[in-house]
Amino acid sequence: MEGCSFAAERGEIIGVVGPNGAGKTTLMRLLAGEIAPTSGAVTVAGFRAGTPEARRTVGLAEDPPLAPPELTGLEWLTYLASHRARTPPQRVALVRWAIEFGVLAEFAGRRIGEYSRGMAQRLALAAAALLAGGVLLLDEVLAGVDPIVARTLRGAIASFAASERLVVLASHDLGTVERLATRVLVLSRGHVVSDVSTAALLKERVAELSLNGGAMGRIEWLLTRYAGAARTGDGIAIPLTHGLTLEEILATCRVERIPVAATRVRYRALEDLLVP
Amino acid sequence: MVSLLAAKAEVVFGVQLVTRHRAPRLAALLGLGIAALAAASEPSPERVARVVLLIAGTLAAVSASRLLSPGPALAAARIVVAPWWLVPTGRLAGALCVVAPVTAGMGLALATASSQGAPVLGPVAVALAYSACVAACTMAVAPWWGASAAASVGFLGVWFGVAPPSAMAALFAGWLPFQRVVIWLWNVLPLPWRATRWFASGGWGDPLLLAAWTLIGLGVAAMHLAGPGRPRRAES
Repeated sequence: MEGCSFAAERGEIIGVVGPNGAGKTTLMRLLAGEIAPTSGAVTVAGFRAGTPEARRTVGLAEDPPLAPPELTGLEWLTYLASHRARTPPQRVALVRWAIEFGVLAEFAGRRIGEYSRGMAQRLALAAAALLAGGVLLLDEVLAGVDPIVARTLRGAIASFAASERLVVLASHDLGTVERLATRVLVLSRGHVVSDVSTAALLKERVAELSLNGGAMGRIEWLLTRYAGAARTGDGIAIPLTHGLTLEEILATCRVERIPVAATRVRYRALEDLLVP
Repeated sequence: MVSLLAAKAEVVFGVQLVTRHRAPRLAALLGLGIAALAAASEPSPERVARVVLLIAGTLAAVSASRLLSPGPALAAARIVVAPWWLVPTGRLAGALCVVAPVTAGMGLALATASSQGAPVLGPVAVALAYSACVAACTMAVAPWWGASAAASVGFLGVWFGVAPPSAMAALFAGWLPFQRVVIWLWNVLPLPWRATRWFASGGWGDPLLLAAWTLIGLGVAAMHLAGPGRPRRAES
């Protein structure tokens, strides 16, 4: 990573998206203090990442999850809770809360080695939430989780952030990031290329124009004419910003003799940021 | 302040890591076989002591290789925030909780089988002190070498280290430079011939060297848990 700089506040859910190799997992591991930056500084809750004070604040759930396959989910959570709780009743309460958070009640007593991928991800999420004092780092943690449980987990993550704590969620699942994140960082080759509010982004609209075969050669002209426009499979997508309307675009096409086969106006999605 | 809950959790976790893996179970089975063979031959007190040492050392090396093995065991040690000495010491205590009853049981069985009235407490106590040393050293190298390699080296050390330095000197008599290196290693490393000598002749030199290696093992193990950059390769 290089020149990557951002700050996050309590209560936020930061979505981190980007192609493979963009640096999402590296960023998460830097925040968790598992690796040290070669230059620059990573600070969590006012402490340098990796110090005991910062590590007490952070809980990281990774993909693939790292939990001993010999233990049951309950034993694993009890072990982790023993390092956070001061009394046995506190430990019991923490474990119960984590089981509820990860929706683990059905299989907490089974050996982790027997878990499916989705079950292991849920356990990793619960373990990270149990350890997280104020910052929960989730790296592809909802991958492999069935849609019904995923909805419950999204609710749990949102309520975690709502209690004045920070969630950083790295994922290729743009739908999940759109639903959960209050802000999105787009990474590319170790750089933050975009840092936008999800609400503002999803309010913007895009006009999609399907062009006839003969008009495909004019796409380059349209791309230079409209800032932020991008190719689609059969035409072009143009953001409707700065008061631009579909009617104005169609009028331009008529003047330039560019035949348009079909049009559609939709709201912007995260995909538009990732696939320019 | 160290939480008692955390200390207990590390001991229990150590026991779980050891008892839930097939390698320590196989080592215990091997120990049982050796003990049965030795018992069948009406062993002398010296032989009882040597066999108990062999069983304890083997079991300790194989068990301790799981305690900080790359993958979840090491990751778990790095996730939790605890004083530097707590995780290695707690897990070592957990492994010894498994080694101690097996060693004591086999020592008792062998002493009963011995017609010459072999003692039980002395050999078992020495074997446990020695196994703590082997376990600490094996645990210390496991994050670098992996659990299998660490267990193998510990296992070989316990089995070949029974021979005293004089026997090694005789064995490598024709290879002078090599002989010097081997004898130096035999005198420096925590090998079982030292524990045998300690049991036979007493004195402070041997237990002090074993204690020093135990502390070195614990220190190196603790070093793996400090700072960023953990090994992530896991073994089955």
